[in-house]
Amino acid sequence: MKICPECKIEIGGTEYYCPLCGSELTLSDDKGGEESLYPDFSLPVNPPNRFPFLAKLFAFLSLIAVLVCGLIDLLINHQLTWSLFVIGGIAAAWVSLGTHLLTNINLNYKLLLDLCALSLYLILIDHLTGWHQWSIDYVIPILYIGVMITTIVLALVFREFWREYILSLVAICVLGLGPLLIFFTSKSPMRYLCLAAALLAAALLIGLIYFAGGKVFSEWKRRMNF
Amino acid sequence: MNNENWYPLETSAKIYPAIISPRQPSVFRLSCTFHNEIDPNIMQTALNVTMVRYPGFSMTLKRGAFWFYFEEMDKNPTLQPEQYYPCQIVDPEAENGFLFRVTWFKKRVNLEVFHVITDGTGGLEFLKTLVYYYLLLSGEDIKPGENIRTLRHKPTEEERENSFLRYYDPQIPSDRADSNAALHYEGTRMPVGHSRAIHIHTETAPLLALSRSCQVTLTEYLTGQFLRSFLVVLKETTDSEKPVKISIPINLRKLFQSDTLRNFTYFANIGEPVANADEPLEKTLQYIKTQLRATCTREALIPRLNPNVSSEKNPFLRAAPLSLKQLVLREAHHILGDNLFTASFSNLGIIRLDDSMAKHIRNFDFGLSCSDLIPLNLSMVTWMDTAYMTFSSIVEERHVERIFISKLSEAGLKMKVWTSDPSEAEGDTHENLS
Repeated sequence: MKICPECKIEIGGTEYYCPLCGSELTLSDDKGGEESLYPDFSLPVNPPNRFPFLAKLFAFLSLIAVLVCGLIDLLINHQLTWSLFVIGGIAAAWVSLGTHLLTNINLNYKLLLDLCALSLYLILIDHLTGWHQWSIDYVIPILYIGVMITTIVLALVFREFWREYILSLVAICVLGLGPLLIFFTSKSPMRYLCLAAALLAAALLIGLIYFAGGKVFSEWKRRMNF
Repeated sequence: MNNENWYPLETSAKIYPAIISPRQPSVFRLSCTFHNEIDPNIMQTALNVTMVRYPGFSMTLKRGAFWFYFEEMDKNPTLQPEQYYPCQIVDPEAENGFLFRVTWFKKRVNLEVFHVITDGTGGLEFLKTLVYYYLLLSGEDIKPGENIRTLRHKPTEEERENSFLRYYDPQIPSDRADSNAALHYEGTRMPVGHSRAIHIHTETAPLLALSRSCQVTLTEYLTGQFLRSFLVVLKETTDSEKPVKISIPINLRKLFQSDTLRNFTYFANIGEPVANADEPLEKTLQYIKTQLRATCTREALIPRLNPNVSSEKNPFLRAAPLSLKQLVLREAHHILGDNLFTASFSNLGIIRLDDSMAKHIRNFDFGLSCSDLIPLNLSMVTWMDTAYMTFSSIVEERHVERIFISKLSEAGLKMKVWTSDPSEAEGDTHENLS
C-alpha cells in the first residue's frame, strides 16, 4: 500500500503523489498499485449559445438603424415620419424572426406572435399611408385565417404532442375577438371577411370543447396551476 | 405509467429550477460499489424495473404560467457509462427529459439526482431498490429484508406527499432563524464542468469513541472538525467578523412522521467567526451541540419551515408569471440561500441491507455538487462499520481537506484516502498545494 510520509495516511488508487500535500508516496509493501476509481473524464457537449454572435450583430445593426433613421427624420421633418416604417419593420422582424430563431417555445405560439407582429406593422403602414383601412379589412382576417388553419394542421399532424398545442388553439380562438371587433366597428363592405374569421374561431372553439373538452381542462389545470 | 399523472413541486423544490446552471447544478450523487464488475445489460433491466416502483423519478419538469410542475413520462432512462466529472448538471434536455442520471464504471453504479425531485434520503431509497433488483436479476440468492421498497408493494400517496404542507401551521408565528451572511471559501476555480472528489474511509468504532469522549454525536464531532479546518485556513487570509458556517441537512422524516420520497429536509446553519480559530476544539463542539440540539425539535422547526410555505401561499407571489418568479427566486436565493453558509456537511447515516445482499456490496458513497459561493462540501454515509466521507470540490486548492485529515489523524484515526483527480507525475506542479 502507498503511504504519504507527510500526512501519514494511506492513499488508494493509482496515485504517485499525495492528493492532499503533493509529497511523493512511499510504497510500504510489494503489492502493486490498485485500480483507478474513476474513468478518464470528458466534458458535456455545451448546448448551442442562445444568443449567437450573428444575433448580437443584428441587434447592434438594428439599434444603429433605428437611431440613425430616427435622428435624420427628426432633423429634416421635426417629427417621426418615414423612419416609423423602418423602426416598425425592425421591431416586427425582431419579434417574429427573433422568436423563431432564438427561442424554443412551441411553433404555434411563434405563429401567434408572427400574426400579432405582422398585423400591427401593417396597421402602422396603413396609418402612415392615408388610413385606407386595407390592413383591417383584408390583411387581418386573411392572416388570422391562415394562422388558424396552419395551427389546426400542425395539431392534427403532431397529434401525440396534443398537450403542447391544445391551449394555443384555445388562444387562437380567443384572438378571434379581434376580427369580431373589427366587424362591429367597421363600415367597409369587406367587414364580412372579419365576421367569417370570427365565426371560424367560434366553430373551432366549440369543436375543441365538444371533442376534447376534458383534455383542454386537464391541460389548463396544469399550466395554470396557481 | 401514464402522463395523466402530474403534480406541483413541493415547497423546497421550487427554488431549484430558478437557480440551476452548469455553475450551480444542485445535484447529489449516490454510488454503490460491488465486489464484481457490473453487467450493464442487467443493470439497465434493473433500472427499468425500479422505475416502476418510483413514479416520482419518471417525472419531467414542465413550465406552467405560474409555476413549474412535474409530469410523468412514459419511458425509461438509459444507463450510461460514467464519463463526466462527478455531480455535473443534470439538464433534462440532455437526459431525455429525466431529472437524474444513472451511470456505471467497472464495479460501481452511480445515481446522480437533480435536487428538485428528492433529497438524499429519497435518492438512497431508489438506489437500494436498484441494487436489490440488480442482484436479483443477476441470479443471486437474496432477500429484500425490511428496509427496501420493492414491487411487492405499490407506490403510495404518502410517498409523493409534500410533507411541508402537511405540517404547515399558520397559527405559529414564523421565525426566519439567523440570516447573517457567512464568510466564503475561495480558491482557484476549476473550469466549469470539472470537479474533484476526495474520499476518506475510516472505521466508525474509533470515530464514535472519539465523539463520545467529547460528549457529542459523530455528526457534531465531524462538523466541529470541518468548521475548525475552515477557521484555520481562512484565518490566514482574512480577519472578517463574518462567521464561517456549516450547513447541516436535517432529515425531517425523523422528527415528523412522513413516508415521502420527495424533499423533506431542513438546513441548519451553525458557525463561528475566524477570531475563534485558536480556541480549543471542545469549546467549538459544545457550541455546535447546543445549537444543533436546540434546532432539532418539532417546536423549534415548525416556525422555521413556515416562512417557505407561507411565501408559496402568498397570493401576490402566486399570481406572478413564472419568468418573473424565477428572477425573484434567483435573487432571493442569492441573499437567503448560498450567502448564509460556507459549506455543507451532509451525513446520510447508516445504510443497512439484508446480509444476503450485503455480501455482494463493497461500499456506498455520497457526494454533493458545488457552486461559485460554496466550492467545497463534505458528505458521508456509513456502511458495515466503516465511514465513507467525501469532499466534493471545484477549486484546485486542498488546504481544508488536508487540515481536516491531519486533525483526525492527530486524534488517532486511521484513514485511507482516494481521489477522483489523479495527480501528474511531475513534482513541481505540487508546490502550490502545501
